[in-house]
Amino acid sequence: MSAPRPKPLPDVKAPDTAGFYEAAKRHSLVVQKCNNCGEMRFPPLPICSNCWSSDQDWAEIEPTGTVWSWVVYHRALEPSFADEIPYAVGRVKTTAGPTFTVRLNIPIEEIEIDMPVTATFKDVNDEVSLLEFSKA
Amino acid sequence: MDIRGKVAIVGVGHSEQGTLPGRSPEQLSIEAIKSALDDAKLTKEQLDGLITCKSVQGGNADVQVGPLFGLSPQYSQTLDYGTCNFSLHLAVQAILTGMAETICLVYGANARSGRFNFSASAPNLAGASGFVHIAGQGAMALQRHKKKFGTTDEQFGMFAVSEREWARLNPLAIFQDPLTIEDYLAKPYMVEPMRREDVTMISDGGVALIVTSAERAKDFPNKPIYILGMAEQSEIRGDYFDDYLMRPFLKKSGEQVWRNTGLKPSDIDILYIQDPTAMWDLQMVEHYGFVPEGEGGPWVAEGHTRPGGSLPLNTNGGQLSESYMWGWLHIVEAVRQLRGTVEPQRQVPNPELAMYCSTMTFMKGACSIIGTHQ
Repeated sequence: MSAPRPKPLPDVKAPDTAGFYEAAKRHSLVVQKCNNCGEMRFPPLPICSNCWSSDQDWAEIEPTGTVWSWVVYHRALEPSFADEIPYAVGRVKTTAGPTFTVRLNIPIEEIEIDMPVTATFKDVNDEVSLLEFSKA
Repeated sequence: MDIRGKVAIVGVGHSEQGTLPGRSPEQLSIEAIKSALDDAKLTKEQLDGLITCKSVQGGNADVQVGPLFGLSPQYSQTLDYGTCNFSLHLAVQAILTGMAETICLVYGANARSGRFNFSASAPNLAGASGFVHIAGQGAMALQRHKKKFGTTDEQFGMFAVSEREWARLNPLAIFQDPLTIEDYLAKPYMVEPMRREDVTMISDGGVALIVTSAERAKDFPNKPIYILGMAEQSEIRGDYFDDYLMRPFLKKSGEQVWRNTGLKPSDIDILYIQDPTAMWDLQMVEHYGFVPEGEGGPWVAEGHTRPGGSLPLNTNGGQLSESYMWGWLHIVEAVRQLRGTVEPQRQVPNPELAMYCSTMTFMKGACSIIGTHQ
């Protein structure tokens, strides 16, 4: 038997996203906020797409949102997820604005578009905590 | 600038389609070019332009095809994601501005035998969440369409079913097994609410077109098929735009082409839509105005897109059933239908106007209207 294939993990050290994953370790949901015009976004960008300012910080947001849409993987298109089939992924619009496409930690039969959800975090290892959304 | 009828397609060709191990994208491109030159009764020396489309797995840039092509044409370009539509538009612009007169457009890929990984996960949050493969994005858009408009599986499945019905009339098509709506509904979900039958296959092959000015087109043996209208619209902000998966920006591509040509959707005899998933069919019949937004489901369920229907769609079988050539075979089929030279069992009676709509993922859209008369 070969060792199970490792599941893909985000690069938590990448300079542009490290702040997000540091906050995730603390189970805090942050997005990038422009200090010049106030625009909030995720994924982060090196400059603000609205005003082109590079003066920006990570800002904690309300960990709430609604399900924009969702899907269920019944086939392990990425083989390392075979032990989790079926699993649900949702695109969630946060109350603050930015959207996230991540796991829904909700029984599949209860998932609905527009349902309110709240951010939760799954501690994968000492370095990585993954954002998920659960029932509000 | 009115481009109507000033440029024509005078040659079309392709390689075998399927699993073709040992042949590079560039080699498959040359096979397709030879086929298109034979169709147009041209030699390669008579081309003064080449526009290649990068292969889905990389490669096939003009400078990679060039050494095999064996000539250096005056005008040479590569588009990252031609889908044939963007490539055709570039060719029209080059010909009308005098950069070249007779251009070969080509695509080649060996994604199947090269085992290109369509489920590669990005090292980001979505990838770590298992949101992989184009079926994920297609299913996400379909789920929202179902909720907003009441679209059902029975309705949506008719895109895959009608494309398979066409494929069974096309000897080139790779998927030939019968598929009824009952068969479709009995299949399991792959990425719910999408089934395997709603998603493209992966295949190897090459496709080429020869395009020239309308004046020169009259010297060629084939009935010229004229470019009558073309339009593009980008949404290059990508997923920073909340509704990107629904691709409402495609409406603007439609508005342009109908305004510029004075035509309307009901004038189109045959429709072609590049279809990595059947969701692209649903979105484009709505956004290009063939049906009002939200009514694509009930409409397709009425059978309009099937053989004998009022708006034949992807009469080659599309990417769901014929072959995965980034939409390039769609326009080859459109040209042959307009010439009246496809196998009799799938020839649409006397078509004069065909339209081809395609997208570069969720970031750009393009359409072309081609026809038998200037």
